[in-house]
Amino acid sequence: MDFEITVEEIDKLVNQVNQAIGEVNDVVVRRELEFMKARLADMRVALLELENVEDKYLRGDVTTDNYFDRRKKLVRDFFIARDQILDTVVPNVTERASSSEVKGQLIKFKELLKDNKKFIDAGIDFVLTVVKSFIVH
Amino acid sequence: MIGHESDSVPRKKPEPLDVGLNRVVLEPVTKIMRFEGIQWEVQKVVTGAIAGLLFGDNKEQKKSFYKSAVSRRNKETLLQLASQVYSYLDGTISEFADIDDYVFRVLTRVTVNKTDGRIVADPLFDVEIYKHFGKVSAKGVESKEYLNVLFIGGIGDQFIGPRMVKVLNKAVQEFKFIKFVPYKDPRAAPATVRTQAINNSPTLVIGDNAFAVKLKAAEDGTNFIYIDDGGNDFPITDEKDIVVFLSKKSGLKPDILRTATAFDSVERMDREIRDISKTIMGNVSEGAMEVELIESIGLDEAIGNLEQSLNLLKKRRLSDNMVAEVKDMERELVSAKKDYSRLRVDYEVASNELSNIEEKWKSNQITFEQYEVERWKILRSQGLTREKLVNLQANVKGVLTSRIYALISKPEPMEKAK
Repeated sequence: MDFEITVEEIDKLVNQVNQAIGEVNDVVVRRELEFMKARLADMRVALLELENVEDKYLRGDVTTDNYFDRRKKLVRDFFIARDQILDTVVPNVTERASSSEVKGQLIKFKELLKDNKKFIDAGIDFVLTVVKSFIVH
Repeated sequence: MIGHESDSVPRKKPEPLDVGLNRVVLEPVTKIMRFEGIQWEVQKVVTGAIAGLLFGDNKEQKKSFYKSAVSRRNKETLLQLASQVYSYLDGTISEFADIDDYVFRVLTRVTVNKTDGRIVADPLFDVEIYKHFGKVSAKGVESKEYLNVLFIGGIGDQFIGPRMVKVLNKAVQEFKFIKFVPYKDPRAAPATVRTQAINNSPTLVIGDNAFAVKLKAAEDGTNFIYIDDGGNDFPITDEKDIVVFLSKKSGLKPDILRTATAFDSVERMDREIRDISKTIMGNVSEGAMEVELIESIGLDEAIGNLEQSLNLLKKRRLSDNMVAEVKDMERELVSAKKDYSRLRVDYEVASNELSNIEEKWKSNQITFEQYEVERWKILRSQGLTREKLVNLQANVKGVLTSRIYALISKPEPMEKAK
């Protein structure tokens, strides 16, 4: 099953988040970005593990039942991590924004991040908006 | 029984599916029946379908097949299937329902040896559950019918107008499934409605029954409105009376009718129910399916609104009691939010699993039987998740919303004099 998200794309987003952590001045927002990074790492692990389980199954190293069982758990891990980003990080960062205009811009990402196809692009846009909104020059 | 789906719509009989190894898959479907009839009906349709497969229209051969050893062994398997259906129903509906309020249709799937009619793998089943009113399946609300209530006012019956309309509107709010159409003048109403009007009296039509609404002078000289119920006067003094009358005449229990989302307009409910039924009927792709269901449930928005309301409430001056109540509400909202996140993930995982097993089957990595067993398992668990989501929706949009709004509408406490 294609998740529409690859490990390489997650790495790209993690790099973006790393840069943002270094640039943002707000402590709470920085903490949220670190939380986002940790969840992206969870998604990455789930994807790698899924590849691994799939590979083992194709080689006949795991039984079908075992494969379905392990796969289900990993898919769940993947979605839980993704949902934590959109349910926790996005609202918490939005709450810190000073103007209602920025708040409006940020909260829109909650919807966009739900869609696996748009997740990476929306994630990068979100991080860029956060950097733009929380840097004190 | 009012509003339950008619059994008259013919279902297309599926062709037996040959799965190789001298086996075919049959999918017999029972008629709609009561709880006690499940075991017998399952036996009847499955055995009948197998006999039909083996012997076509030959009644004699079918008869001897029913008495054969193979048929007896099949019956044992089908007994187990029926007990699985019962335990599934126990877990699904018995906690919140009177079993007499429901009827069922069992959809079975049996793999049969083509030569001797033996059931060769564990049979699978799905159950459609029908409530008295509307069709509510294990997978969610599929369709809904209204109890039609018409009110036809007579010419010059000024006394009846605004008050009667007010009490009827109140009744409509009470019973979410009532569709109320008032006609001020019978001449302006459609012909079918005109024929239901009783003489020149204003008429209340509930389903197919018409009742005249009349005015009478009480002993103290004041006038009161009553419904002429076949010679018995049913006085209408306030909103409750009309609700009681509608309930009495329709035989609908308010607690059943109120299982739908409160606080939503009928139009919105219609749309939600249509969306849910669309996903059930499989009219949309699986990818779009979970998005549509989750969106149509509208819990993200509802929870967000309630959080906002509580935050606004916290900014007001509150008595100690109210502070405690607000905290209580916050706890419940957090718990609902957690449940929602969990169910949303469960739902999406199931959709993902479904596409995965289909892919595996198409690429011959799993057998058809493995695919079918997994698919039914996933569909059943997804159905339960869907039902939990619908219940959670009713709880958040109904119970929680009303409690939070009740808190908001409480007046601020007076400031203590210094």
